[in-house]
Amino acid sequence: MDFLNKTLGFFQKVPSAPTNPHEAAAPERFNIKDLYSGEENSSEEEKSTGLDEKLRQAYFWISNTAIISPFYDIEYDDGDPKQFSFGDSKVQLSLPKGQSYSSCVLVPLLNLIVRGKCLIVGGPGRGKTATCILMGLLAGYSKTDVMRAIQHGQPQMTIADLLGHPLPSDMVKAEKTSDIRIAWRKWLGMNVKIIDEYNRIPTRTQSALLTVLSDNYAEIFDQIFECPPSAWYLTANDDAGGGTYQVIEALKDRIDIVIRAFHFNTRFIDDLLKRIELNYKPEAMIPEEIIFSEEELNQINREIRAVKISDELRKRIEFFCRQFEFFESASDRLEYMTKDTVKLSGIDFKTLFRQETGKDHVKDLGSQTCNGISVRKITTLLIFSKALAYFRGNKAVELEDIRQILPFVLHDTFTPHLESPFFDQPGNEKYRVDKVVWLRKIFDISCQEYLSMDLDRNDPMDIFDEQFRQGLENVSLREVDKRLQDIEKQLYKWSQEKKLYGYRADDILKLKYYYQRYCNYKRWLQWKR
Amino acid sequence: MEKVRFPPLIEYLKESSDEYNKMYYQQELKSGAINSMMLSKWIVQNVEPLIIAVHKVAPESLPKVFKALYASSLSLLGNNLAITHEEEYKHGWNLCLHIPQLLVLQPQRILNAINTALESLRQHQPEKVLNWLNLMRNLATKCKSVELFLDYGRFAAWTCGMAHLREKAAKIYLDLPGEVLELIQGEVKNVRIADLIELGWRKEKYGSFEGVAGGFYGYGKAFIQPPLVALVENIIVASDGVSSSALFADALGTVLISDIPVSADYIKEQALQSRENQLRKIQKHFPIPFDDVTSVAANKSTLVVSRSSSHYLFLYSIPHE
Repeated sequence: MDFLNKTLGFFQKVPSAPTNPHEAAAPERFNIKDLYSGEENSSEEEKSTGLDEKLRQAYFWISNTAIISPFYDIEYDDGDPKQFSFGDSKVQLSLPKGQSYSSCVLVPLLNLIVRGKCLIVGGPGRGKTATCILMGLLAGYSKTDVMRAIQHGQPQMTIADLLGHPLPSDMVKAEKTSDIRIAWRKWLGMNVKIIDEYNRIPTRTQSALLTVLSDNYAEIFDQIFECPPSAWYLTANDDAGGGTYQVIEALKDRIDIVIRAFHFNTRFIDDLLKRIELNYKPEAMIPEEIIFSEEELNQINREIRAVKISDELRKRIEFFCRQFEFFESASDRLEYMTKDTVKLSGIDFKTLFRQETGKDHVKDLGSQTCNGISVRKITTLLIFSKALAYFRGNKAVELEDIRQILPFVLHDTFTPHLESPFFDQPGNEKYRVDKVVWLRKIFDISCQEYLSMDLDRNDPMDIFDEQFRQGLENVSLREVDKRLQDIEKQLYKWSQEKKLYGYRADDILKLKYYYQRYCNYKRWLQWKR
Repeated sequence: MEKVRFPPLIEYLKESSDEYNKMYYQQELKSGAINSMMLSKWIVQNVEPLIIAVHKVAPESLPKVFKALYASSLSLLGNNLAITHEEEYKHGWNLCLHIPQLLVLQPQRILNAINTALESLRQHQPEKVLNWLNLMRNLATKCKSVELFLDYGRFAAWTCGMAHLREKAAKIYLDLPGEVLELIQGEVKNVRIADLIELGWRKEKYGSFEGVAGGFYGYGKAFIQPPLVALVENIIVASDGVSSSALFADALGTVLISDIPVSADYIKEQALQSRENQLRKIQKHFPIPFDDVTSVAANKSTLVVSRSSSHYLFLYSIPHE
């Protein structure tokens, strides 16, 4: 019995050594509390800076003890990694020396702290629901509460099943709908929301779910229930919408991040056997040290927002994102030359794509997708990059953070244009199949292109951005005229380029925006005098 | 980091921290991050004393006054003015210590007026900013209403060389109490304010050369080319063919307001049209010692001459008949 207790104690152990030691830095952003808070606050700050360590401890407890997931697909390398090739396809394996992570544990954990919407896809028995339950437990709920709160998608699920039902006595007595009280389902008020097999929910109920998911409130009989900010976990057996019901587009679009649950590595059956023998259930053994209170999750959320993204990295993200929306054949006005215009017209994308002649479609990243990136996705990419940097104990995001998290954020966003010549290039066929690898590849290509254009040092937009950022206060009429002239000169220079690519289109439109702002200011200046 | 110590202010900040943090974020979106040490120091040194003064006269107004002070602080630190010209703004805001009863009534209006006055003085009479602040410190205690504070501010600015305010100063002068006039007269040496209000120049110097205005753009002045002058709607305007300016001058100072909405071509046309007439008229009173005069303009008190060999405008006081 002693041996059994000791063994179970081992599962609950959280190592006291720091998982990824860093020096603590003082918060830089001004907070009004800094004006009056004394010593008691500084200790709070110390406590708050330790939350990233607690987060890492939670990650390592899950990946080492709770879920058998020996896959380190989010790789960080400190130097030159050892590489090996296997098989006829010469598949590469690198051995990174930096701390690397398993996406199917790390991403749900990051989702918990950014309060995003995470979709876990994969075949049956891959641990999708188990991961969601662990996240609920980490957020401080009891196992019973979490189990009760899971919404299991099934073809007969009604809105009442999902949200709640009107009280029968009120239904009889009430003279108007606002008198009818609603017995709201408890899960709506929780900080972690789990929808199991969401693609088995009927379409009408999916619409009700959409309102809760996107607007954070539920409505029945004119009664509103406002949900607290929460982390969502949805699971699906098949990400292509092959469940009982087709997932509505809007619901898909609200998903922030998608991960694939990995298969089980059969070399770990030994561990599985041990668990059977000990009757070990990780969800019953979660150590108290890694359970987060609501206040701690709020604090982490605040700290994540304070993580910096440098201008150099932001510009790389901008350069990547602006490749995809532009579509030259869509219109004869630059503003409407977008893939959205094509989508709204109902004309076949591929037919129009063939009309785009002269451009190097292998080089043009925009040719690889049928759509662009929404603001929601860019926001998600930024916040998850910050969360990953925070998780790694950094105060600023690194390029590798963006590179690693990007494929999971954009997984369901991009519809690949499989007829693009890029996919026909030797060695590129695999990108038609594996979205994660493809998305990472196009980000790499975009960064290479960014470097080859030397945009860190010679971005013509820098000077315009810098001037505009200084504000228009006290800018003289003469200076405004000079800036307008500079914009005209730059536009003329770009008009001499032979081909128009997505990244340039956004530059041009931004200069047009500046031109308009300066013109308005000039008009105001003259009126003021 | 410096901390505020006034308990009612601490109490209020605790209640409203979210609102003020949001205001800070909004400013950060507009002008980039503000150094938190600088902001704390500014609030402790310049805002807290005002709040203490305000609390003595109207404790219920603390939220309204603090909000205005905080918004102005963010704006001044956001565009770096309170860093580059820290002393000026510090003295400027300290004026409010003498008028807490007025600050309570219209805090934002008073702060905006002080900030704008400092900015304007710095632009046109940079060496007189401290003079204005000293004069206002003496005048502030005499202000019984916000309107009077603004009027005295304008009058004081005129005495510090802001010549374009002479017209307004003349109206304010009519209702100026004797003790206030005495205070101002004490600052303006060797000349009677009454004379200046009426005629603009010193009586004993009428008809003489009074100085220059403008200068070459390359040296940080106003004109790219030698300018031309004309009288448009009784205001002397000048243009170098690119931009246009309005000129105001009297014995206390000269102000050239640039980028006025009068086209350079129109000024040139007016200048060339009236040149011969003006020259003839002026030479009756006194000869102009230049042979390269390109244009001449005169209002009731001032004559301005431009030359083909100079980027400056030459100013003369006109003798009164």
